[in-house]
Amino acid sequence: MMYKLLRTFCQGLRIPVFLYGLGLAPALAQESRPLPPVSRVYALEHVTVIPAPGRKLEDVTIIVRDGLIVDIGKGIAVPGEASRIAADSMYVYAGFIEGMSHTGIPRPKEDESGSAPRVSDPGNPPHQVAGIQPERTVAEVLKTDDKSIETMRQLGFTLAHVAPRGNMLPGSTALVLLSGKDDDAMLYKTPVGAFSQLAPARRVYPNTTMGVMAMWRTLYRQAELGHTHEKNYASNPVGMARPAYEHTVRALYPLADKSQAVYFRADQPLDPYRIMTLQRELGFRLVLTELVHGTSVIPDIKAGNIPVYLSLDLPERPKPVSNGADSLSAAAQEKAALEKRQAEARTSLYQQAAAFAKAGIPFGFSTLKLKDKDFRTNLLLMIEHGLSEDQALAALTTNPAAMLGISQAVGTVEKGKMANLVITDKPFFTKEAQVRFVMVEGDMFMYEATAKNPKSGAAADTGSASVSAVGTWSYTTETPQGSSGGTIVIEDKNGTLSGTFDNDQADSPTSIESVSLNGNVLTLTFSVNADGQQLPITVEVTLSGDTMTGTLSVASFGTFPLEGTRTAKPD
Amino acid sequence: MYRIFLYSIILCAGVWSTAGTRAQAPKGNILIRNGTVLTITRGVLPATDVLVMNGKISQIGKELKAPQGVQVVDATGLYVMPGIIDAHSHLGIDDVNEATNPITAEVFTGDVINPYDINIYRALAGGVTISHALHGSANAIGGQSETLKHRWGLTDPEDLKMEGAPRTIKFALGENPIRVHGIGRNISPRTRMGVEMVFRRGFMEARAYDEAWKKYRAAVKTQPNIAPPAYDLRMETLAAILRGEILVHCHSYRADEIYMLNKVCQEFGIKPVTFQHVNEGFKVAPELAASGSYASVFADWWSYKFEVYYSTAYNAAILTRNGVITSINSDSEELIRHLYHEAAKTQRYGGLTDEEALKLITLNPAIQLGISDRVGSLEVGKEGDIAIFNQHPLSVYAIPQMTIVDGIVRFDISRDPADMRLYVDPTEKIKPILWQEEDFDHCMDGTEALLEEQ
Repeated sequence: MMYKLLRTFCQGLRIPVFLYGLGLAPALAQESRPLPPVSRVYALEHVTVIPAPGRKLEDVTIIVRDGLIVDIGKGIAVPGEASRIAADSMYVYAGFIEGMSHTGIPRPKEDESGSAPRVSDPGNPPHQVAGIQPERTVAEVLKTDDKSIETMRQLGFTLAHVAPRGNMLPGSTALVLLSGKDDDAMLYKTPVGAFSQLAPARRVYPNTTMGVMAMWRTLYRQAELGHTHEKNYASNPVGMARPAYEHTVRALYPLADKSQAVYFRADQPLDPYRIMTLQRELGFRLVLTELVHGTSVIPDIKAGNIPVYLSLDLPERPKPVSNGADSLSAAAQEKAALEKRQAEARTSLYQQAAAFAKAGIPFGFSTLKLKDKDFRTNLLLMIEHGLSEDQALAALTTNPAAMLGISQAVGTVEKGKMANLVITDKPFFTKEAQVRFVMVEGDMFMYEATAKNPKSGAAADTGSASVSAVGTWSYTTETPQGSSGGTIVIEDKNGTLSGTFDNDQADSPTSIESVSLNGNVLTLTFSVNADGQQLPITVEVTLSGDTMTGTLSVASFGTFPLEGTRTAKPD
Repeated sequence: MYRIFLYSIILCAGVWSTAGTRAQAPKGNILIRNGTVLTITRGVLPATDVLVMNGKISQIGKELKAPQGVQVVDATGLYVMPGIIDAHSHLGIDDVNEATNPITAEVFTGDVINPYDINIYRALAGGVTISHALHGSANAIGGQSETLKHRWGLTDPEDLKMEGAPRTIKFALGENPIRVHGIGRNISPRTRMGVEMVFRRGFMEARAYDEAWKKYRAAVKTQPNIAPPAYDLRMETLAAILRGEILVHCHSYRADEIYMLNKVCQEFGIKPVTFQHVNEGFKVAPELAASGSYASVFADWWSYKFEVYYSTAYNAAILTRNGVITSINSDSEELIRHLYHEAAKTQRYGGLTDEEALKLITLNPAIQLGISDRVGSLEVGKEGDIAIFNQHPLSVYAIPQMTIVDGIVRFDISRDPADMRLYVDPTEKIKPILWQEEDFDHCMDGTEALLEEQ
């Protein structure tokens, strides 16, 4: 019912396709450019190196040649042909590793709410339509100039364990160097394992989580039987029916003989339980990825010796809960109590990483859902909630390297290792630190330092009185149905604010019933008509110069992020 | 060769490698003192104690001694009855219908148990300790279903499964499968005749499948170098039904099709079938009794679609008096909270005795779920699933006071704070509710998108 109304609302506005990359706020630096490849030899002089978590070398020089770290130490000779990098007093870390990600894989063009796949019998769709494509490889779907590669590299990631996008079994995973070169040069190892999610197909079988679980059992048992049959046939085919050639099932043979692991996405609250139930039953090698609600299953993970990648995606930090609940109305008291529980729920997610560390379970991080602007915020949140900086660094470097079996090549800054480096102007885990250089297999990417929040600083100086909302704003918002955008026009008529709210594809703008500016917080309330139903909408944004960030709330359906910029201003 | 052989042994035993063994859900001790004990099978015992040790009823009698440290509940003036059992519910699960195929025997609601569903706690507040989490009725042969114990507070879905309860499966007749598949997608079944054919075809295929595997298992002993048949979990499940390993629960309304399925099942050697809803059951009550079929009905709910126009509140009483093991179910997270009222209606409509009426929500659903040796009455050796009421549970003034599962108090009206959620969504916006969701039964959940297609 609620869903239906929400959908109706979205259809009313005709909210278009998800715009991928929307909401990627200005990150750590303004631009990056590979230095001209005059030479494949670099010297990083007088730097502080953190070769591995818990270790530190001060005032050393690193020599990189043809993609490898060839020397590291104090006062070593710099070869004449080396490009000298002015990295004095900077900090060098091993390049970060995405334990499980979709970096470099564009989102499928078809929108989530688009038309249903056309199949003659939804009960027996082709495997591809059902989301069962374990034979697919990353190389088939990798886009080397996808924006996400640059975005993640800018954060310090140099190597990613990448899975294709899709539903139940979207394909095999691969290790990809984030150099942005051509496919073959970027691929470090393929395949690594199989990626899987408890993700039903749309309108065809398996259309539910229980359908996915049943399909998993069927496919896995078919793979076990087929694999054995094929081996027997190979050794003696006399009198034996030939094994049927089913490429989908054959792609699962490495799971059945346990030469490959299944990297299962487990971000929903009950996913870890359901996936471990399947694993106990079938016995495949399991790796849990994108774990969000994992604290309660720590004993099972420990007992099963299951490798884990924790999600770097965290809910936003709760606002402080007011303590004066006693004096509030009954409804406000109830709301305060609910908010308190919600804040506790969020805090427990922030504490997850520390809980795993405390239990002695080594983990990496996965970034299937990470928004780049949250990367450092979320790491620091975890550290604030009990994770040590060394543990955090290990989860970004040495742990995933070990879990992926590539410790000898990557994960630390040592002679002989691949030159995957991230270089910051301050120690990485200090709040103001900025990434200034990233090196991927010896290719250098440089990032300019940015001034820290000049706009908010200015606002603080001038005070809220000078904040003006007047003008034309272009905004985007993201709802579960996708992204949409449009314009908000705010006018000042003799000291009274008024305005209109428009959406890209709505028939006409809606006039805003109430506009109020309190300090730098702008609140707009109005309602839209969705199939004869008036839906109240509230937009609450914080203004900073010519940008707005905040939320759009639709009745009781939820609150969605909204951000925008001022495109025109009256003189 | 050895592997194939080993494999077939594993298949024969029906056991797949269960690498990790899980600890069982916790069991408790409790002494309920001096209540009016409604045993269901041994009459009403005034001023009697019930002692539960390690999750099982160890003694029923006067002035029992509780071992040191065992929780004692004073039930003076209160009524103590077995935990209520609902043979038809869809709470505590995230999916109801895999509505894409007329036969989806391989899916299993036990895979999508949601221990955080607040409706489990609300059912406990109505004295219900066990519910049958049925697959929906979109398909002629829907999914396998789980018998849930309402162990509110545990978060591992496996802990809510009633360990050792027989496997069950959902069938459906009439308008629902016809609407979803025939009208919605123009495939069989498009008529009631077509529904019958779906069953027959499915069972025939499963019989052939089972034969092929039996033949293979026998032959591989002497000829190790032969190929195994194709594996199909759907056919495995249907074959298990034919072997009598899975109890059938069938969504049904009309007498003619109830009679039809009874005949089909008799032909294929499947019994007993519990007919769900079975609103016209009163028309074929003697036939149901003769075939050993069961009935699970609403107390007084009908006319919500064309095939349910002909019914009566006397249904449960007529079926009972004709010797059909009958239960009253909820199919709703609202009705489940007052099944004792629903049972009481059979006294107004049909004059059932107290014991007959209470059996409709205790022992009889237990029989239908194949668990009556463990629950459904208060007897020594049975599991400590108990509901305590302030009045006789068939009184309109009855209010459940405490509900106990395996000897552990899972609901206590004196300790019932406003927010009993186990899981709190860390990001959902807290706002006043503007719209009320309508209360529906959930038999057709998950089919909306499919029906829009037409």
